[in-house]
Amino acid sequence: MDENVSRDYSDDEDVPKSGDWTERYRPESLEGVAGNAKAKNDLRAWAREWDSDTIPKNKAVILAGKPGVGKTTSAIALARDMGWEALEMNASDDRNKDAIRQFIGRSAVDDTFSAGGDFIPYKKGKRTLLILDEADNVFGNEDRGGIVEIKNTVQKTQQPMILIVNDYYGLKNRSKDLSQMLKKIDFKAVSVGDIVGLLKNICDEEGISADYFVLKSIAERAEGDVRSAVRDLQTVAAGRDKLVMDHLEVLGYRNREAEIFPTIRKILHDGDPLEARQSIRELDEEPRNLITWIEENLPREYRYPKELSGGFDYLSKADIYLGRVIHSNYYRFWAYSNDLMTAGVCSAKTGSHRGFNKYAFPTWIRKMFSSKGRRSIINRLSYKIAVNTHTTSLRAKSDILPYFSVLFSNDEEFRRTMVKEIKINPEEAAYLLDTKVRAKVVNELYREEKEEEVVTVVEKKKEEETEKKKKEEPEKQKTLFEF
Amino acid sequence: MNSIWTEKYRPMKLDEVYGQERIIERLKAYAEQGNIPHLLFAGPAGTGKTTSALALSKELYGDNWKHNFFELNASDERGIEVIRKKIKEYARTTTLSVEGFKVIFLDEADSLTSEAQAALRRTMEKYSSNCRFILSCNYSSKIIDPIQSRCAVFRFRYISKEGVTDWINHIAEGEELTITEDAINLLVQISEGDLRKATNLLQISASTTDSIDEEVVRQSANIAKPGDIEKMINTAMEGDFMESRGQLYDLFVDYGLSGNDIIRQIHKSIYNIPMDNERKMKLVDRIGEAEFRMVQGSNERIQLEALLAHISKDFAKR
Repeated sequence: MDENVSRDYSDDEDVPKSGDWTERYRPESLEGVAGNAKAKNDLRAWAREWDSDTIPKNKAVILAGKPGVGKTTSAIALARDMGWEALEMNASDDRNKDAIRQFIGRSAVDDTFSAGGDFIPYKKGKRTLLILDEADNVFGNEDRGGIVEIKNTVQKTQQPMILIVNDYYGLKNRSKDLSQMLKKIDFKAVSVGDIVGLLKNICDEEGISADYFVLKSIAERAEGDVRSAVRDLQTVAAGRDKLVMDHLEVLGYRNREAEIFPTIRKILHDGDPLEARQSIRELDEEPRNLITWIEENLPREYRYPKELSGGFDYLSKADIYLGRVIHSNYYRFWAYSNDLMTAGVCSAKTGSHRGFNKYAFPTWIRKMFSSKGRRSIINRLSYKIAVNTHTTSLRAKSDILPYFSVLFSNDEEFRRTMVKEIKINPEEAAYLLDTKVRAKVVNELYREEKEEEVVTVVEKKKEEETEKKKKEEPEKQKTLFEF
Repeated sequence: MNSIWTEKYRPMKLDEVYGQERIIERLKAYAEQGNIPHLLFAGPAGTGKTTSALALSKELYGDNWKHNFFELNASDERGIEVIRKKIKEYARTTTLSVEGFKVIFLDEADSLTSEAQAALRRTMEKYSSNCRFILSCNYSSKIIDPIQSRCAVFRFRYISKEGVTDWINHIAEGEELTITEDAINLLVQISEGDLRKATNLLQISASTTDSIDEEVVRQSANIAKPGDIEKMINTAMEGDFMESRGQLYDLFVDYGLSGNDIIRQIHKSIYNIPMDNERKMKLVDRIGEAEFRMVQGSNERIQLEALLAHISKDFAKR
């Protein structure tokens, strides 16, 4: 642990990485905003209404949600995606009152002002998005003037406007009129899975290798607040090239390994089944997670074939009870599952208990985490093949993909045809050829396409639009187990 | 060579379907009448279920078949509600054909739970005035009785050796390949009555050379394996459990195989491993037990690991 601290200082000289990560990694496009798929779609749909020359019915939307879930980021990203100017103001700051009034006064005459105040005649001008952050602080003000001011602003504006609040109901109670003028878009807590994905991207970008388990701990603690997760990550990771569990202590994290390993030791090493059974009572861990830790470490301790096989037989039976819980919704079976995976596994050991064994974090979870990208490529590819061969993705994956990839590597003509006909993309081609996306062979495969592109710009554009629509279909929130 | 041969050579007419003569005869009678009941095609992969459904529709509707045939994959749609919605949307559009009905083909219907099948049954009834359903499945016993009783059930068998041989010769002719008799025999043996597998393996063999012999087929079969199951079993038998577990993880993660795929292939592969017959049957029993536990349990990976641990104890190489 100490070696990392000293490295902090030495790194300072040649890598002057400064700045706030929550700013540096603020996504530039809505696409990159973590989570909240539905809210993002609603925002896009609203923004598109401004595309025509007429002013849409809902001139203003209100983004409601807890701090750090991406409201302001989404508003700014939206403006960028639409090619609009953005004028961001903190509504609670008195100094902004005049500026808002001035802006509205000018925009009301159908012309546009750039954020710098330059006059742009209507129709030549771009739209300007007015973002009023912390709008609920104005509503909270005893002086009712604030709320009237905002109402006027919404009524008069000829430009799109976004209000941002933490507490929507506070506003609704104070001014029903105003709440009726606004289209409400909810921002929800971002899932642990989505936050982990984002943190992983940042680590990759910063050249920090970080364990899945470490990132998950940070994400869980953030409770859906992306900003605080990124801030915590910067606190513990900046200047390091490897981030491990110990580093989180500075933030007051519990070290899960430190809690679980003593239990594992009781089960696999100490040889007292009743003690082993007792040991999981204090450990607040779901059986299906605990079994993964035991599964990982059992063969590290049980070296004789007989005890290895006996131990796994108990794990297998413990898992059958977990299955029965799922099939019957009868949770009492957990008790048997717990006994079998602790006392049962413990009793299968026959050899002497000498020596110290180093326990490990589950390889399985690590492997699933690091292979995320690869697995999603396989799935997409299987689906494309399935659609073109009248079968299902599952069957394509197991029965066709192995053959397909051999043909794809062996036969250039086949390769070119498939790229055209079933739209194999460069990422998928690289997977099939077992190489990198930047490899020459992949590049060559798509060179012709690029040349054709010039001729068929119009068609491409249409295609992009349909692609765009597809992307906007709401994505599911990721759960942890999708990693 | 620039297309997937299973598609290029997929029969267009019922008469061209290989190896299911009796079924085809019945389906042709339907086509002549211009009417079909709901159909259930049950049988293993690569025996012509989808092909027969496609060919039947082409004969019923001629050039208009695409407007009257709708293909759905039960395991790719996200749940029965999505399936019902799609069926509803499709069934609503008016029928153009003189037959007065359209065909909905639902592949892998046995991947639906029995609750979902019950919902499907209601949907079938609701639209039966203008839609006929063709359901396909691997095991008809996994289809609930009320659906089975509403369908004419056709059982597709593995294609016979002669059928596979004819099929291989048919493609070899089309592609102007020379292929030795031994090579054909090996293709027949490996593909085990599955024409899709035979076709894919033939195409890979042909991607390296125009004159195919036994060795070419053998090598092709080796490189196109989805991961090396035999190696994993051998590693366990040699007593290196950790290594074989790592190989198991690779099969799951890197090759994207399901526990079901893996246990199915373990079962097949043990006949290639030298071992006396009595022990082999004991191992078959244990593999069956592992699959039974996979069905009952919650975690396929743990059940397969338990199997590997058992193999490393009772089936160790001495």
